[in-house]
Amino acid sequence: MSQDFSAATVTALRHRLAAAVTGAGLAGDAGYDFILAVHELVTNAVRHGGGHGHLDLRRQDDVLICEVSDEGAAQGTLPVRLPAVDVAGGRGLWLAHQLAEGLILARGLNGLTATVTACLSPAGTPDGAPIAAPRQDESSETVEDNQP
Amino acid sequence: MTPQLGWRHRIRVEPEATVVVLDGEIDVNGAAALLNLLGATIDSADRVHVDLHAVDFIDSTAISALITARHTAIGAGKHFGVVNSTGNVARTLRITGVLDVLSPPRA
Repeated sequence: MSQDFSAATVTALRHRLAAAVTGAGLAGDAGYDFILAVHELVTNAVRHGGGHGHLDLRRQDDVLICEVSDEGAAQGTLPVRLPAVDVAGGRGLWLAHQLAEGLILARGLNGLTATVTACLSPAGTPDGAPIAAPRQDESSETVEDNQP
Repeated sequence: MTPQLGWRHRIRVEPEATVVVLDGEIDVNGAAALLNLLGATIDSADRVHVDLHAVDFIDSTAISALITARHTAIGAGKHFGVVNSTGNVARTLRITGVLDVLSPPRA
């Protein structure tokens, strides 16, 4: 899945992402957490990163990788720390960090690229061996949703 | 309301509080409208509850709106609380540590 987004398409993008993530086999709380983490990165791009961006979701072996890039020129710190309970804002990046298994923030010349990952293998599987149906042979594949 | 808002509401006046019953998904496209609605409700009622039982998605901007509404209510000497969150919405409120502070004070 590879898609541009803007403020107006944040909700539709999340619905497409949800279909793709579920289709990739990440369901339940883990699926919801990953979708919310990505959504927070998308929201961050829309609010602070120039108003639009690009989302790229792919699968590498048993890891789902989602990259959200924007064109925000804003410098300054990226607040990942959780604010106090009575502070209104500033929870987006913290939530993404908390919910995803990994969060990488990279600031380039053209904006910020935020990457989150989620593991598709259940924790505790020996050697990460696939436990269900055989997978395709490609080490990296694009995750497509099944939306019409 | 614009179609992209993602949520709907109805107001139910109960003896205990004026309840804003929300339905849908609240994200960055609906958070500002939610804050406006809650502000207007707090203006016209002394006790306001937000019922989230039919809400199945909230994000950090929705949480910001709820926290801001709580500040508005406290500033006006009024009561504000979030009730009936379930599933992933309750979990999101819990993870961010705001579930307790948003729960209505016991009358």
